[in-house]
Amino acid sequence: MTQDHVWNSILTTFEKTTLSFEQDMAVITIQPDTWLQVSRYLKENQAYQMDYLKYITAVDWRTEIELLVHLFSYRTGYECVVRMVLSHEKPEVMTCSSVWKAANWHEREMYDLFGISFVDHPNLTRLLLPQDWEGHPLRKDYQEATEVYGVSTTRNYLTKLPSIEN
Amino acid sequence: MYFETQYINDHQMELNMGPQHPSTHGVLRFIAITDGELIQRVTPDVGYLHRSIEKIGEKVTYHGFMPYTDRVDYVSAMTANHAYARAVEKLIQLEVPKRAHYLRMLADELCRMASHLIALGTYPMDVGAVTPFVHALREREKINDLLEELCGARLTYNYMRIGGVSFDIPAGFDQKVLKFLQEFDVFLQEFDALLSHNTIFVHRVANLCPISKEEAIDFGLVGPNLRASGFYYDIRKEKPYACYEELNFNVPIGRGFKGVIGDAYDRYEVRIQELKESASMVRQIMQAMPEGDCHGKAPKNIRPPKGFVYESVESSRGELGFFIASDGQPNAYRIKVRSGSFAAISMIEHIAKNIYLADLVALIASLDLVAPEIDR
Amino acid sequence: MPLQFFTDPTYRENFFLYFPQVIPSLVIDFIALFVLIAIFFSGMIAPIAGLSVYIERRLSAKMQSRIGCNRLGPEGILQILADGIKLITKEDFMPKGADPFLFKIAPFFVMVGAFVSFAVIPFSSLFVLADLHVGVVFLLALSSVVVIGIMLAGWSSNNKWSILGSLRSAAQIVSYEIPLGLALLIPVLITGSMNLQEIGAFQKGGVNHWLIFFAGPFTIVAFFVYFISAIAEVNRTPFDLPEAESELVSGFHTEYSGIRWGLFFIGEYTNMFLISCIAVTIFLGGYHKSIANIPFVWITVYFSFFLLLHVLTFIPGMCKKMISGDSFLDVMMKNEPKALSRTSKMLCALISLFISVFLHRYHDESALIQTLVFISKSYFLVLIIMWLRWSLPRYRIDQLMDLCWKNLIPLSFLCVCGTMIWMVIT
Repeated sequence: MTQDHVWNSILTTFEKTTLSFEQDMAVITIQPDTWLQVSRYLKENQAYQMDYLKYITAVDWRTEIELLVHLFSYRTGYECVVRMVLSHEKPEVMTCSSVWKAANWHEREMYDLFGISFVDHPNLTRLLLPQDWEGHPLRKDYQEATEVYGVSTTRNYLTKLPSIEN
Repeated sequence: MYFETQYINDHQMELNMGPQHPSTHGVLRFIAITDGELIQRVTPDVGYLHRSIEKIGEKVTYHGFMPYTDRVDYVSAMTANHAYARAVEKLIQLEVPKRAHYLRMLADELCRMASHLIALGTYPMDVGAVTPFVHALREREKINDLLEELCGARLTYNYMRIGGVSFDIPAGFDQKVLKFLQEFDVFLQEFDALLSHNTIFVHRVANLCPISKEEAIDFGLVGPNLRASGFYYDIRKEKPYACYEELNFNVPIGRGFKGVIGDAYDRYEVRIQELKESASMVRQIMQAMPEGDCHGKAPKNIRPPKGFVYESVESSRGELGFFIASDGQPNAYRIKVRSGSFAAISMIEHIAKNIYLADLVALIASLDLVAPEIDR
Repeated sequence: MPLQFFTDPTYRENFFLYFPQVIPSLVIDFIALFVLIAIFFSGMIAPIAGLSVYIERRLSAKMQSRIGCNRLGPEGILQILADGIKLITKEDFMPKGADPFLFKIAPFFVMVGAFVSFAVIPFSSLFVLADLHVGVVFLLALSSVVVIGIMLAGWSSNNKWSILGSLRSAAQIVSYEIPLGLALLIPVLITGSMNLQEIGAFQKGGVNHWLIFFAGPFTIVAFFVYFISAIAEVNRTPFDLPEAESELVSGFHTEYSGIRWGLFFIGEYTNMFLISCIAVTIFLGGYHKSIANIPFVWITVYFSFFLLLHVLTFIPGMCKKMISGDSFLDVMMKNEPKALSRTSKMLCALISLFISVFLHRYHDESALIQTLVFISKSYFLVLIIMWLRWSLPRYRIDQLMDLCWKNLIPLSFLCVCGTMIWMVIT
C-alpha cells in the first residue's frame, strides 16, 4: 500500500523505524533488538493484523546481512516487508516463532544457509544441509570444503591417459 | 537421531521412513517415534534434494535462470516459470502482450491439471487402491503430449521467457485440446465413481488430521490445503495476474464433505473440483485467445535497477513466489523461492499426533508434498 | 496292509514281532503315496497357482487400461516360466543379524499351510486325497500354521518394518479365524458331518439344494462372511496391510528375495485358490451336477479354446522364424500378436456352449468332468478376489480389527443362530 498513513502507527510506536517503498511494496526498516515487539505489534494490532508470514529471507551485502520478513494480512489486505540490518560477524536476532509458527522452519533455513542465529528458537538445527556440514553456503564469502568424508570436491581429470600397448 | 535409529525405551521404537520408500513423495525422510502402531512424534528430515538453486541464481543471468525454475517444482513446472518471469518483468518494468498472458494462463492451467492428476493418483495408491493411479497417469500423458506440441518438452518445459512465451500455438492445437477435454470429462466421472464415495477410502481418509483455519494461516499454509480448511483465498481471484480477471471460474473450498472441515478428504475433494474448474478454464482460454505477439521485447542483457521484488503465482500447491534482489549487475544478487510444500511439511510435526503409521502415509499424500519444492 | 498294521489290535500287541516283516510294504506304500502327492501338487495345484500369477497380471492390466505381460511366448504365457527361472537363479543372501534357521524355514510354513489343505478337498467323487472325518477342523488348523510362518519371517528378518508387518498379519489372521470358523460351522450344523465329501454330497440335485440357499438369508450372509474372512486370512487387499507395499515395503517378506520370496508368493496364490475351493465345496454345491454349473464350465472351456486358437495362430510365425534360423529365444520372444476375428470368437463361444451342455449330460459318470466343473467354479471366485484387489483401497489395522470383532463376529453368530432356528422351524 503506497499510502504513508497506513504505516504511521508503527513508525511512531517504535523508534528508529523508517519506511520506504520498493515498487509499491512497503519496506519498514527496524532495529533488530525491537523485532520481537514489532512482530507482536504487527500481528495483534487491529490496524494491521498481519497473520500470514510469507517467508523470511536474507541478503548478504558483504559488510552486513539484511534480514527480510515478508508479512501479509488476510483481513486488512496490507502487505509489508520488515527489514533488519544485522552485523556480518555475529548476525543474531530474536526469533519470532512464538508469534507465527511458520517462522520456525524459515528461521532454521536462514540459520542453515546464512548462519543467522535466532535467540530462543526451539530447535535451531540445520534443515536443508546435513547436520555435520561446515559453513553457511549462501554467504558471499563461502568457500567450499575441499573434501567431504574423504571424497574430493574438485574434479581431478587425468592429464594423460594411460597408453595401451598391444 | 539422524544417522542411526536409537533405542528409546521399552515401549517406543524409532522407525525411519527413509529417503528410499515407495510412498514418500520425492526424497523425504520421516523419523517416527511409535509404540508399534500409534505415532507419538514424527520429525521430517528434508534436504535430500537440495540442489542449491538459489546459489546458482547468483551465477547465471536473468534469462539463463529460466530452466532452473523448472526444476523447482518439476511436477507443475510452468507455474514456476511463470512466477520467475513475472518477478523479473516487475523488476525491469516490462509489459507483456495480451496473447502471451493468455498462453501463460493456458500453460498454467494445463500444468495445474497435470499436477493434480499426479496428486490424485498417488493419493489412492498410498491408501491402497492402485488402479486410479494408472488412470490418472494416462490422462497426464495426454496433457504431456499437448505440452510437448506446445513447447517441445514433457517435464521441464522452459516455455516462458522474460517478456512472454517462447513459442506460439501450433496449427491444430485447438482441436486436440478440445478432444482431450472431452475425454477428460469422462475420466473424471469414472474417477469420482471409483473412489470418491468408496466406503473404504472414506473410512481411511475422512476425519484424518483436520487442520483448522487458524492453524493453517499461522503455519503459512497455502493453496488447496488452505482452501480445504475452509479459508477462501486464491491469488488468481484476489490479486489477479495475467488476465485471470477475464476468466469465469469458481474456487472450491472445503466444506467437510465427509467429515470435519479441513480433513484429508476435503483436501482430496478440493483437488478434484479444481480439476473440473481448470478444465473449464482451458476451454474458455482456447475460445477467447486474442491475436497478437506471443513475445514482448525484452532486453538481451538485463541490468535491472537496484532493489528487490517479490512476485507470486497460484501454483498447484499454493503460492509459489520468487524474491529477487538485484544490485544492478546482469546476475541476480539473491533469488529466493517460496513454495507451498515447505509450509505444509513444517506442519506435519504439529498435526501428526496419535495417528497410525498408515495414516501418516495418507496424510503426506493428502498434503501433496513434492520434495523439490521443499529442498530447492 | 500297512494301515491295518497300525490299527488292528492283534498286530498292535505284537508290534515288534511283526514290524520287521511289514517294513518293505510300508516303505513301498509310503513312496507310492509321496509320488502320488507330488504328482497331484506339482501337476494340478502348482500350475493353477502359476496360471493365477499370469492371469492376475493380464487382468489387472485390463482394468488399468494397459496391456500387461505379452512378450514372452505367445501372449506372454511363458512369463511364469521365466519368472520361476529368475527367482531360482537369484543370489541367496540373508540380512545381517537375521536368524538363519528361522529365516530359512519360515516360507515353508506358509507354503505347507496352503498346500496341505488341498488334501481334504474333494475334486470329484473318486478323488479326495484324504477323506478325513474332521475335514473342516483340519482346514482351520492349517490356517493357523500359516501364522507361525509369518511371525517367523518377520522376526528373523532383523528389520523393524518386517516385525510390524508380521505382528499385524498374525493379529489379523488369528482374529479372522473366528468368523471363518463360525461361517464354516453352519454347513456342519446343516449336514451333521465335518467330512467335506459328505457336505458336498448333501448338495446333490441342483441349485436349489446348494447350501447357500438352504436357510434363506442366513446362509447367504454366512457365505459372504466366510468369503470376506477368507480374503483376510490370505492377506489379500483390502486386507493386505501386512504386505502393504506403499507403507511397509512388503512387510514381513521385505528381506526375502529369490526363491524364498517365490515360495511366499506361490503360497499366497495357492491360498487364494484354496479358499475358493472351500467356498465352492461348502456353499456352492461342490462338483455335483446342476444347471447352474453350465455358465462356469462354458467360460472355462471358452477361454481354453480361445487360448488354444490364439496360440495356434502364433505357430506359423514361429515356424517361419525357426526355419530362417533365429535363435530359440528369439523365436519364443519376438512375436507379432494377431487378434482373432469376431467370427472366430463367436464360433469359439458357440462351440464351447455346446461342449459345456454336452458335458453336463454326462456329468455324473465322469470324474474328469466333475473335476473340471469344480475347478472352473473355484477359479471364478479367484477372479473375483483378484478383481477386488485391484479396485479397492486397503483397510487400516484398527479398522480391520473393528470390522472383524464388531461387525463380522456378531454377524456370524447371528447367522448360526438363524440357521439353527430355520432348521428347527422347517
